[in-house]
Amino acid sequence: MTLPPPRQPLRCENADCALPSGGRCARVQAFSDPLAECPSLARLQPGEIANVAPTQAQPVPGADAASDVAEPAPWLGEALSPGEVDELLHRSHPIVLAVLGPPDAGKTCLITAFFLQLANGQRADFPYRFASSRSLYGFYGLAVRANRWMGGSDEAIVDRTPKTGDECRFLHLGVRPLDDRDDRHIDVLISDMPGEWVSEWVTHQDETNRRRLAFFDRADGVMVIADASQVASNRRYSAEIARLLQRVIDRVCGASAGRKRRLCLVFSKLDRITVPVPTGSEWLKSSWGPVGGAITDRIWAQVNRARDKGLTVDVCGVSAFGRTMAAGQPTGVMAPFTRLVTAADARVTLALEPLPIAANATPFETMRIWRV
Amino acid sequence: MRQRSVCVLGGPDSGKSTYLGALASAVQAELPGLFRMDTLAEDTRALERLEGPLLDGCYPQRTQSAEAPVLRMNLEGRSPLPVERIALSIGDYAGETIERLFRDRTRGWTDEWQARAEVDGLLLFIRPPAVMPLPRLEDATGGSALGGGGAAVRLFGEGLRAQEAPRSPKARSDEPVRMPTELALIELLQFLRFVRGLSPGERPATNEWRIGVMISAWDDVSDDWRQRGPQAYLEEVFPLLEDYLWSNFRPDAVQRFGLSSTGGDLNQPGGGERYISGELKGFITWSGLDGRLERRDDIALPLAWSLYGEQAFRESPQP
Repeated sequence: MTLPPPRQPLRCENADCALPSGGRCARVQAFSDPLAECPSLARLQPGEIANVAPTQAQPVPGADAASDVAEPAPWLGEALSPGEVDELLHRSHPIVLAVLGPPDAGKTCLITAFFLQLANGQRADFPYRFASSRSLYGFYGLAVRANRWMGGSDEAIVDRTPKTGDECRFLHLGVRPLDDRDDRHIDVLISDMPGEWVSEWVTHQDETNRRRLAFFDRADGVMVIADASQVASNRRYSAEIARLLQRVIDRVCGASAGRKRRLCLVFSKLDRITVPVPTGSEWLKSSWGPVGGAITDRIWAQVNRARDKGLTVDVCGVSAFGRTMAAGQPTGVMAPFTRLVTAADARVTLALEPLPIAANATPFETMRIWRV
Repeated sequence: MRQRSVCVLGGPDSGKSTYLGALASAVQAELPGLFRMDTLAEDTRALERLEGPLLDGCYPQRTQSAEAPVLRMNLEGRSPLPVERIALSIGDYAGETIERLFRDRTRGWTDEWQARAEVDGLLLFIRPPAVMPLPRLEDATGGSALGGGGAAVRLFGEGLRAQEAPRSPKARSDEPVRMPTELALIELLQFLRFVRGLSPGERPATNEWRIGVMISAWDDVSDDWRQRGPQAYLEEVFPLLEDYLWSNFRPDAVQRFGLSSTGGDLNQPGGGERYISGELKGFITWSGLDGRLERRDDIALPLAWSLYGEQAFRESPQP
C-alpha cells in the first residue's frame, strides 16, 4: 500500500524514533525506506501540499552541535549483522541457540521475556549473570513494544520479525558463570527468525531455505516453540508442529550425530489453556495432566522418537506475556534457556584415579600417583 | 602539577550538575575533607555556572544539549592523602545526549565522547525512580530480605563480607515486570570499554579505572533502603547494571555510594534557606568491606576514592 508523503516538519508517534531530528527511524529493521513506508509518521491528508521538500528533516532547536557530526557508534546495537556474527564466531566459541516455530508461536515474545527476567534479577536457576550485549538496543526495542501492550488477545505484543534479507538474524547476550572461580565470558547467540521461513524450511528444502537455516548445524541447542492453545484445538497446527519436530530431529541426528545437542520443546501461551502452567520439564505426556491430553499423540511420538535416538529432550511450558508487564510476571521462561545453555556449556570433569605404588617403587614412580 | 580527570555519566535529572556545584562549593569553602582548592583555574565559567545557584539556595539549571562545560579545579590533597596538587577536569553534559546516543547510532559518537574512555575514574549517577516499591519481604531462600544481603564471614570476628552472587528476592506472580532504565548507561560503558580496548568480561586492574556508582537524592529514599545501603539498593533495583559491573570490573574497582549533594530538597519550602544556613548538608554513605554502612559529610569522598581507592576511605576524617 502506498502511503501519502509525510508532513513537514516530520513528526512520529513513536517516542523512540529519531527520524524527525535527523536520525534513524525506530523501525528501520522493518522498513528500508521509512519516509515512504513507516505508518507511524504523520502524513498529509488527500489534497494537502507539503511545505518543505520531503527528504529534509528539520533540526531540533538547541541540538548538540557536536552530535551533528556523523560519527557512528561502535555497533548498531540491534540484531547482529552477518558480518558481526562472523566476527563473533571467529573471536570466541559462542553458544548458538536455534529458536524455531511457526508464525505467531511466540518466539520473539519468549526471547523478550527472557531478557526482561534477567534485567529484573529474576534468574531463577539460570546460573549466569549478564555481562555484555551487542544487541542491547534491540532488546530495549522489544521491551518497549511489549510494555505498550494493553492486554488484548488480538493485539500484537511485539512486532513481527521482519523478513528482510536472506539470512537469519541473531540477538547477542554475553554472560558469566555465577561461580566466582569461573572467569569465562560466554557469548550466546539467539536466533530470531520469521516463522514463515521456518514453515517453508519444513515444507521444502530448496536452496533459499537451506541458506536461511545454514546456521542450524552449528547450533548447540534447539528450541521448538509451539502455541499450546493452537496445538490443543487445531489438528493441522499440531501436525505442522510434529513435522517441524521430525525435521529438526532428522537434521540433528543426521548431520552431526557425534555432537551431543539438546532439544527443548516449548509450549507457549499456556495461560490460554486454563490450567496451572507446569513448572517441570518432564518429557512424559502423563506428567502434563490435562495439558498433555490436549496435545496430540503425534507430537509426543516425535518426543519419544528423539529420546530413542539418544537425544536429550526437555518439554517446558511457558507463559511469556500471560498478562501485561504491569500486571504480573511471566512463568517458566527461564527454564528452556537454562536447560539449553547449561547443557551446551557442560564440560567433562576428568576423574582422577590413584595408581597403586609398588613397595620397591623408584622415587620417580612414587611421584606419578594419579591417572586420568 | 599532576593532571587527573574524572568523568561523570548519567541520564537526565540524575544529579550530576548539582553534585558538581556542591563539590565546587565545598572545596572552595575548605570544609573538612580530603581536598581543598589550590589555585583558581584559568577558566572558571563552568564553576560559576554550577556553584552560583547553590549559593542562592537553588539547584543549578539543567545542562543544555548545546553545552558541554568542563569543570576545572586545581586541588590539593590534604594529609594523610598524598599531598599533591591535582589539576582536575570533570566534563558535564546534558543527560539527554546519552539517550540520544543510545537511540541514534549513526551520529554523536564524537572524539569528545571517546576521550572520556581515558579518564582516571568514572562517576555514574543514578536517580531513584519517583515511585519506588518497598523492598520485597521474601527472598528465594525463604528468609527476610530486610536482613541485608551477603552474610559476613565470622571466622575471625566480623571478618570480610563474602563475595557471593546477590540473590534478588523472587518476585511475586502479581508483581509488575520493570522496564530496565539503565540500558543506555550500560551501552555507554560498553562503548567506553571498547575504546579502551577491553574485551567483554575483561576486568582491568583496580588502579587503572575505578567506577563510583552515585545513587543521588539518597536523602529521599525510604528508611528501609537507607538502612540496607546503596549496594543492596543497586542489587535489587538495578540488577542488570549490578550484574554488568560485577562481570566487567574487579570488586574493589566498583563502589556504590548513596549521595545527597544538598542534604535535602531545595525546592521544598524553606529548603534553600536551610541549605544556605548550613542546616542542610550534603553527605555520602557506602558499605565498607565488612558490610557496615558508613557515612561522611565530605561529598568529595567519591572523587577521592576514584583517584586513590580504599586509601581515601581509611584517611577520610570521621564525623
